[in-house]
Order: sequence, then structure tokens, then C-alpha cells
Amino acid sequence: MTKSSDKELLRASFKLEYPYERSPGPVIGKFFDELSNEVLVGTKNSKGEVFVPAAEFDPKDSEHLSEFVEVKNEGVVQSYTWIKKPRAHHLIQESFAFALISMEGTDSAMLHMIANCNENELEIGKRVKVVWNEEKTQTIRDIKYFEIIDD
Amino acid sequence: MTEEKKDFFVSNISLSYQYTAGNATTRFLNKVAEGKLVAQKCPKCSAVYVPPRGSCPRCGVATEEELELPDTGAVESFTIVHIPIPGNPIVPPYVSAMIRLDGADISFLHLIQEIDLADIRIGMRVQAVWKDRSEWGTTLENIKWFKPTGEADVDPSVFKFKE
Repeated sequence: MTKSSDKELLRASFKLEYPYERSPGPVIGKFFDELSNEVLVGTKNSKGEVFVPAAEFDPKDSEHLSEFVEVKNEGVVQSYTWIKKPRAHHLIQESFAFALISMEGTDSAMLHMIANCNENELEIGKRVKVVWNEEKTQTIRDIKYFEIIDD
Repeated sequence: MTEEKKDFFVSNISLSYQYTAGNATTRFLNKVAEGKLVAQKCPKCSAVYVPPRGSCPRCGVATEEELELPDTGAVESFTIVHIPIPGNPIVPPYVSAMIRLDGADISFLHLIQEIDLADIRIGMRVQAVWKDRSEWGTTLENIKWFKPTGEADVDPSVFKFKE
């Protein structure tokens, strides 16, 4: 805490932090492993529906899913939120969007970021593709962000 | 991701924020920086608060009268901590205690060291152990911890808030 004169109020910066470690488990774990190979994998249920990110259980009927399928690294914007002024903790420091992206050939959507575009270029239904991070950490950050595919 | 445990990764949850001490706490901490523990007294019920918050929660009136308290007191309540908290430099087991300074009507949380854990008890007399003056700042960490004085225990009935 910094000392100030009697008339000034003391102020200090604090950081409240909960240390937290998690195990992704066998299915999301495989999804992360494959990201470091620049490959997107999903899981397929008995009806042939595909979930990306790979889901361990079918969100509708809880079917245990273990069949992995590789999907293309392109998808469609389902919805998005434009972040005009990123804050210090954001991974991208220019304006970007958080978006739900449905990968091609899948029946689900995943949350990620879309960058390298202006707000007026982005709309629901736009096609986007993965931009990979050069440094791989076997986490979702192996996808740096998505960018709009120019048609 | 941690190198040693491939199947786990660190995913900390954090919140950064700015704390503003306010008038009463600022005055208190500026005195702590001089090695003094200055309480405030309620003009209505005479309760003495340390650390002061600028008002009496019971009477709802501002507390302006200040008085310096000694750095001695008694243990009102305590916990022996056995589980390490990540990021906390204090090695368990250690004693966390509510300490009632002599002349105060409320207690505050601090550490007790220089003690055999089996000896800690409610009513035990303690005294502050200060850091070297050159390390003092506007923080109660100027007091490293409290240690037993060896004097006779106080009767726990003194901890009852006076009516």
C-alpha cells in the first residue's frame, strides 16, 4: 500500500485468485491433443450427429460418445458479441468478437474469437476459418482465433 | 499447462481490483506506519473500535474521538491452520487468531507465533512482535505476529460486548 498525506485516501491494487487445476478427461483431452497437430476432432453419436468440441456425452440423450471424427477447420458464425475495447485480460488487444461457431459438418457450436475484421464485416452466417497459434500448448489457445473467409 | 502433469492444466480464476481504504482506515493505517494502534470511540455507547471504521455499528453515529491502544491483548478466538493455502508463504501448522487489544471492544485477525500449538487457548495474553522499523508501511503487516506474554489468562467473560 502506498503512503500518502493525511488528506489523501490510501489505495492499493489487489488480485484475488483461486488456484485451480483441471483434467480435461479422455475426450476433451483428445480434442486438445489433436489441436496441437492442427487437427479439429469431434465425436459422433449413433444418429450420425457430430459435436465439436468433442463431447463425452450426447447433450440431448446422454449417449456415451467415443467415436472420433476429423472435421474441416472452417465453420459458420451462429452468433457473436463484438468487443470494441478489449480489457487487459483479453488475449487479443484489438477489437474482436466472441462468437459461437458451428464447424462445417457438425451439429454443435463452439465458443471462440474472431479477429482481423471490422465490426461491419461480421454477421451471423459468415464463413470463418481457424488461424492456428504457432506455439502449441494443447489447450483451446492452440486456435489463435478465427477469421472471415473472403468469398 | 504444467509440464510434470500432462493430464492436468492450470486454469486459475482471478479478479483484479482496486481497494480504497476510506477515511477511517486511511487514518488508522497512517498511524500504523508510525507504530501506533489508534482506535476510535463511540460518543454514545463508548465502545472502542480497532481497526476503526468511522462509525459505531450499534448506535449508527460517526466515531471521531481517537485513542491510542497498547500492542498487548488477549486471544478471543483462534484456529490452528493445517492445510496449506497455495500462494500463502506461511507454513502450516500455524495459529490464526482474533485478538482483542487491551481497551478495545472488538477484535481483529492476526497470527500467533513463538508458541507451542498445544498451549494456545482463549484468554491467553499476547503482545505484538513488530517488524524492523525500516520495513514499516501503511499495513498491519508491520506486526509480524503476536506472541504469548506468559501473564495470567484473562477471564473470557471480558470478551462479552458491553451493553
